[in-house]
Amino acid sequence: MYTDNYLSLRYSKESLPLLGKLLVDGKYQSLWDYDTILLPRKVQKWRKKAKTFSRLYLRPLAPAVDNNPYDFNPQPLIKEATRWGFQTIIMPFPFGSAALLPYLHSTTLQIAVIAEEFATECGGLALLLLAHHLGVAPLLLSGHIPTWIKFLLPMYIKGAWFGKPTTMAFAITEPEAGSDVEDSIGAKDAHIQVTATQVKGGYILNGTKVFISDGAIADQVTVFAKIKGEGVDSWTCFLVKKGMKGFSVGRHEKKMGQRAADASELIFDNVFVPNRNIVGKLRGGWALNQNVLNYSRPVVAAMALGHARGAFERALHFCNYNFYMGKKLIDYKEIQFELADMLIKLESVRMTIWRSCAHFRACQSLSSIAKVYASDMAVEICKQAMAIMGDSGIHHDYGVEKALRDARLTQIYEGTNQINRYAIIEHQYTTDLTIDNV
Amino acid sequence: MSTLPQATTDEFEQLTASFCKKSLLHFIDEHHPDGNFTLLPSLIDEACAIGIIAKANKSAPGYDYGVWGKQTIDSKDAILSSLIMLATLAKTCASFAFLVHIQGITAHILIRNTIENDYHYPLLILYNGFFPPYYSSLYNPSQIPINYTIENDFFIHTSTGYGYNPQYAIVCIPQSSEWQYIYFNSTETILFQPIKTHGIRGLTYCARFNSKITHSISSNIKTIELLLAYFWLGLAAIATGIAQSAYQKALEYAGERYQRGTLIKNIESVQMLLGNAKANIEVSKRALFTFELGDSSSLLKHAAQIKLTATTLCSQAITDCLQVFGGYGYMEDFGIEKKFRDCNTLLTIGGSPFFMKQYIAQMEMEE
Repeated sequence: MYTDNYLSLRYSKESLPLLGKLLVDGKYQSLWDYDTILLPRKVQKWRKKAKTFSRLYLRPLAPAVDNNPYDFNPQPLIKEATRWGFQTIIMPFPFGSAALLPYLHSTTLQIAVIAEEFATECGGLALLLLAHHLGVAPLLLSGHIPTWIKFLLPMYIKGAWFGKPTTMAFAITEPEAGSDVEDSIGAKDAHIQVTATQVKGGYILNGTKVFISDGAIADQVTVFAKIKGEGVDSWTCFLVKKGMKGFSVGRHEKKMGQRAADASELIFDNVFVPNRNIVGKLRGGWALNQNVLNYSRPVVAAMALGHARGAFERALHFCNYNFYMGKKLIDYKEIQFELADMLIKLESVRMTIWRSCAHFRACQSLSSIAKVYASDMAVEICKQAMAIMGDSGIHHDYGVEKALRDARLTQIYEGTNQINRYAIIEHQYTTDLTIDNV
Repeated sequence: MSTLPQATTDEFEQLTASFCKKSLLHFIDEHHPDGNFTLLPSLIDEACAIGIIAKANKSAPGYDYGVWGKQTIDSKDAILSSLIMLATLAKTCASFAFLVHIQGITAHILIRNTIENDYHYPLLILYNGFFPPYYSSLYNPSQIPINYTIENDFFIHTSTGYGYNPQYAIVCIPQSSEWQYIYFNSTETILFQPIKTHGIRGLTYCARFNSKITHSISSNIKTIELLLAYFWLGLAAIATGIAQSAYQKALEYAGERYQRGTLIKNIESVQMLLGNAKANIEVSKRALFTFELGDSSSLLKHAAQIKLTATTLCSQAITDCLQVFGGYGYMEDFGIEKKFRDCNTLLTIGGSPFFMKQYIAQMEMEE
């Protein structure tokens, strides 16, 4: 219908003079390619690499792991991702595999770009690989070079040179303190129960954390605890290693989606943590937590974008190969309108995310805007994808309903979208929300 | 047109509610978030015995007033009772409500055609192909490409149907210029495999027929219109029931959970979610229970609008309710995630919003 139209862009360009031809775009390439060109060269490489990796390793695993996550051994996949350099992407050399120059412009863009590709194939496996960075982020943001040397350097060397991955997890959520610890207003009254009691040479941790992504498989966990008898302003980040006495993994939650990554309960029963395992400053945990969330929200937004893109791509495939009344679905104008609508949303979400990553430091309001917008749009796009597939939209085998289940979590974690709305206003409130006070 | 006294309609609701409380509640537990299907046969027997489930057997208690029983052929109140019963069942378990709905629709087809059958477990294939059929082809089925053969036996390579461990099957097919129901009183020669679905799990099958037809029933367009209308109204009723129970759960949770040093029901953003959910549910309830029973084509039009509106609004309401629970809502323990999946399934099957909008527009153009 469009390919042989002599009035189309491709043919009409031919009638232009040479200089005109140079000034107009007659190419037919995918938006993915158009967008990739916008990225710095090294980030383009990561994007292509992540796409190849996710098609090679995540796509074949995704349906089975979603059906039965409990029999899945994630270690080979993590090892492979480490070999490809994805598990150390949070820092540039010598602490990680990120490209240095783009990193100096944006600390989050490279992970965000990778997150989209991973999540396009499988939300659960994407979370499995990406939650590790959330655990590493407090070490990075501690801004303490000895901490980097002590923890990040060996992690990178072990992974990149010897192929032995170290998996980390980030533990802030507690049974009675979920949204509270993701919002600076709510945190004042938060009912935090994990406490650290000072003893000779370190601290004793007690309490329970819940819903910790990768909690069951992590070798090390960055755990936030308040100093006993004090409030949330005493929150301190401790690095707890697997095998420490008193540290155990409790129940694994049964989730609706993103099932390949565990969400586990972590139990701290008189766990002794030496002083050298304090990340950042004593009582500096709240600042770390807030900034880790600002770092991770664009990445969650990129995951949401990936889920939506996955749903779109699968629905597109369905429309290309299925007939309705003897005509391919894709050849119906109504279907084309719906697909175009989905593409508009996908493209605007991607630009919002990349825009939020455009600063060297993660900006609170931009991060939250990206997270809220991307996750809301992702759920909408997944529903649209299901709708154009008719009754087949609900079938697990097509993968679109899975994308909806996966996308729904992005409206909840890293602060619910309601909490993120507070974060946007909190950050902008003192600016009077105006560009100019004239 | 016959009517039922209000008291009778209320009785059906109470009867269903008491069945839910006494028996159906145990169908879902922490180990079986989508239902403990080993309990299903006894639950179905019980629901048949008390007359909730319609059967095409004159001596069955649900023959007249079960969901989509004989009285729904010409009584608006009987239709209302069916919708109320479905919504009430869905408050406890949408999968069971859906099964009752499917049983009702198949029994209704048989009752209309005076065929007796004492089985519990149907397989209903409303249309072998893309569903719903393109609007114009509904009135002119000869436009539809045929993908089955009827020689000595009926053969379809694959088709999607709804039911549970089927004992008999009804397939609705286009044949030349009219619609036909093909009835099989045995499923021995039908190969069917369960399909994993988003929600309402355990009740969708991929079927392959190479079977002897028991009856082939020609159907006029009026009957097809009514069948579609009942099917859509039932789906809307189930969605409304799910949303009502999700809202109730969210309200209870908001009154128990503390965040920011207060019960979350006092937090503005939670109030906005609950307010939005409540408004959506009320609108869909009103739309559902105030349909007009005119001729079959006007009922079909109303049913299409109600299916589109009620399932869309209820899906939005449940999304809001799930959000009230935060992370807990995403876990299987609280049962909200199942309601989310179930409602989105109802939103999609039998005509997703995308197709329903076209249907409604085309019906309007036709007028």
